[in-house]
Amino acid sequence: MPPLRDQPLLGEVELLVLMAVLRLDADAYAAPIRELIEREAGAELSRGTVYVTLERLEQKGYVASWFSDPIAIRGGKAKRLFQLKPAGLTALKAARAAVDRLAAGTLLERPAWRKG
Amino acid sequence: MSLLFRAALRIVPSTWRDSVEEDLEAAARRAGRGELWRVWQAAVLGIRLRSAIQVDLVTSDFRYALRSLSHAPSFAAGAISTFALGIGVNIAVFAAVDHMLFKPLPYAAPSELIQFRVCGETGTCQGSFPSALFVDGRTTLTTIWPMAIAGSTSGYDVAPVVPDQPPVRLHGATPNLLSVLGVRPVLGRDITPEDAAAKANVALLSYETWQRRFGGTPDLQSLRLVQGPKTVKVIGILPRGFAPPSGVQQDADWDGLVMAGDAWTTPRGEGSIHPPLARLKPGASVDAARAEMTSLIAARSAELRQWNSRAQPRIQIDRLETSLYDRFLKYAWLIVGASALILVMACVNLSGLLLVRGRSRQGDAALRVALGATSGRLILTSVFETLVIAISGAAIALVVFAATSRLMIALLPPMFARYMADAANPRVLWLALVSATACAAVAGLWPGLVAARSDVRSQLGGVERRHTRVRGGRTMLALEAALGVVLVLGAVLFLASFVKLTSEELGVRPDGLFRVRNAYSSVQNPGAAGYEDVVQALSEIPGIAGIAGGDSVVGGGGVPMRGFSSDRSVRGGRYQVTAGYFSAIGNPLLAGREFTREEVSARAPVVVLDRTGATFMFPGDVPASVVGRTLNLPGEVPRTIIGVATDVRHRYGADLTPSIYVPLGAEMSRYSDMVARVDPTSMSATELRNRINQRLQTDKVVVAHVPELMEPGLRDPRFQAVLLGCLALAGLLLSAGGLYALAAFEVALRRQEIGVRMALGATAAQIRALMIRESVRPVLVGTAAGLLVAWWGSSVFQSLLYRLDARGPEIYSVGAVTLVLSAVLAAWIPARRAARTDPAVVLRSQ
Repeated sequence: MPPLRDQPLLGEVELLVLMAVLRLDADAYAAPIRELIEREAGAELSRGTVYVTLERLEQKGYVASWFSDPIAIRGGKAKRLFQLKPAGLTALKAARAAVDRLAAGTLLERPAWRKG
Repeated sequence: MSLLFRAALRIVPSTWRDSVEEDLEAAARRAGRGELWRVWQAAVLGIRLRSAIQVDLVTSDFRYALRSLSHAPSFAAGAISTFALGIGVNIAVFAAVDHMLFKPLPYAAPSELIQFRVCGETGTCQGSFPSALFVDGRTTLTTIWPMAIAGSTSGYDVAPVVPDQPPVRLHGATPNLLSVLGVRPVLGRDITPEDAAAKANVALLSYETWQRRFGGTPDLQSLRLVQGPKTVKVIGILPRGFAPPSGVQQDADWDGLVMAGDAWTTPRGEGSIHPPLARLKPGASVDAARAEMTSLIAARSAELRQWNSRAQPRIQIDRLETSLYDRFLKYAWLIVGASALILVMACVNLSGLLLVRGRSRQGDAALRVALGATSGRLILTSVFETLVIAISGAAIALVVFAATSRLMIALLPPMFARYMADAANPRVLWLALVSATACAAVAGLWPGLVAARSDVRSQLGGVERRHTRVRGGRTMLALEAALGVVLVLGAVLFLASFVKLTSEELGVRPDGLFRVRNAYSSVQNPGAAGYEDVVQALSEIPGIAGIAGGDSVVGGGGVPMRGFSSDRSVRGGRYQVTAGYFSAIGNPLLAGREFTREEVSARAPVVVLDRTGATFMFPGDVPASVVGRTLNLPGEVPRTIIGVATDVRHRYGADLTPSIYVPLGAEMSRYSDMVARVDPTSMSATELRNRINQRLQTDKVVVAHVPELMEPGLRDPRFQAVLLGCLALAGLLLSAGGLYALAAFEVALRRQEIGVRMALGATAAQIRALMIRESVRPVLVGTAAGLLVAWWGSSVFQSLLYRLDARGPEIYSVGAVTLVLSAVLAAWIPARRAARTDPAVVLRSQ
């Protein structure tokens, strides 16, 4: 388990965006990331928040971005695609581990109604 | 894709632009959003992304600005203090005029409130109003809710009475005042119709007085105010910061309201009340109220003629905010204008200083361009530098303002001082912040543009083109001179007006003159014989050089009027005086003599005219030739003229009307007073009062030093003159400082040229003249432009000036000469330095 104190903790929005990038894999660009978070996590983030978070995550070295080929229609645009970098993955794991460790032995880990 | 959307997309950083465009277009299609939504979204996204990306760039710019300023401490100090001056002046002025010009009145829907006043043709309005119109208007006017009144201050003591406590000053108010104003008490209750019907003695205290005098006690039941046998119950506390219109208008402080309804509702035509106010009913306009009032006046014309001594009163209806402040509005705007000019000058000055500095850092700018800085970045750097200066200046200004606001409140006329905002007021802070930012943007733009256009190759390639001028510097100087001369002109105008006001012959020597008055007017009327005896008795008091009785002699009160022409269209004063009156007030008679005691006791048919009266009755005759003639005035016995007196002004700037003085008659009027002349260094007012009271075995006589009585008339003009003088001085300093900085810098740039000129035989005097000429030329151009602007705008000042032509050529010459002289002086120092250049040293260094 990576030591937590070397790892700056992720913010909630950062965590959500990183997870979405991870899930979407090759299709990770701003619009679907936002939709996925809304659909799966029920969190309605503004466009600006998603874009700015992606920008920050890239500055921190958690994700890498590149431009796709323009889509095959007239005047089609090149999308800015994102992919998790190893540091991003580490950060995600660390965040997840931190939550798990804190949850150990509480209701969160082992819901009461499943006991016995 | 629309042009607007494309423009908004330009805000988005290029790395995001395509994604954002596609995202927004898809979202707009899906959700059926319009064009405006896309534009807005793009702009917001652009700004957010840019600030996220460029946060480093911004902080590095700030660091750069701080570093470069700390390397030039004298430049930074000069620039920051310039700015502190500019912003400080504006903060102070804004704090003082905010309540008057910008803030709505502290009443509900203030635009529906109107005030009725009786005004003359010249626009001066009376403090009284015919009560007949008030009483009738309450029942007949349909465009307004019933009128309300606040006025007539009276002092009450706090029960139990403790000696030497200041009285609580309550303004009388009709029971409906608060409901008309739409204000509710914060504690207790409003005056109810039941109070009004029972004529209950009830009062509401101001929040401030409640806190100060009563420690904010919630137990209002225990608060009692007394005035003689009358006891008043406190029933409520008014909201914090509330003042009734009468409290806003009057100079004295006020502590609360007391119900005084019945005294004003007697339906007699001749009664006077304070100008009433009212709230327009929904949908009604001021014009409609005016039309209704006009028909009401027509219906009551007989009583109204009586009220206004035969003339029909002119009723003026204005919105309350206009009627409350109209006396001050013009000069409040004048001050705002003048202080805004100072701020513009500070900006121009700062811009000039930055240009000078930019000139010496051209290499720096060129290097940054060579390393890839865009022109936008260079402009931004310059704006950041000014921003640091401006914010520091504003902070200093706020601190100084906070430290000196007490002093300012003491110096300002009460109308400005009483509701002055303090430094912690959010509106003041906003003003400081917004004006500092706006000025930084404006002042930093030009120097930034100049830096952005710097020629990289010539700067870095060693082929330096020798500029000996600071680009844009001349324009700055001219602009500053134009602004400066407007300020100086304003100051000269108001100073000249003030000097004229105070130097005009008063016909009275106020120093050492005391008004002696019985505190209760009913006892003041002892009958003429008694009055003369009193004068006689008092004249025996040691230390009194002269004493006399007379009507409303000086320093306020009503003036007894009478008709001078047969149709009474010309009216003037008729004063009853005792012997020795003119020598006591210090009026030099122009011809003849004053009354003897025998003439006064015998009520002899003699008269003293004043100069205006003499000129009116006997046009073209000199005063000496008038003496001895007989004066026939309508309603007056024929009187022999025994003297002509100098015109008396009862207050500074009073208009002169023809007047006659007659021996004190049996019919003592309510205007009667006494005057005593005393050496003011040997006896104080209190001492004089004690001696008189002792002599008359009473304690009812009060005395007042006439200069103090006349002082309020000087307050506003003096304040205007001093204020504009200070602003003009600040303007002069700014323009001279700017000129000095620019000239000094040019001298440094042109050292080589000067060296060559001197080597070729130019004398030191010629060099000096050359430098001064070149610096002062743009000032001359600017001054000329400023004079033109001032000429064009001078009609605005005219009504604020006392008998002075706002376009008088002498004023303009004084203004222009002052500014140009200060410019020459500022250019002199660097010019002298230039003339001391040693050609040998300069040429050798090449």
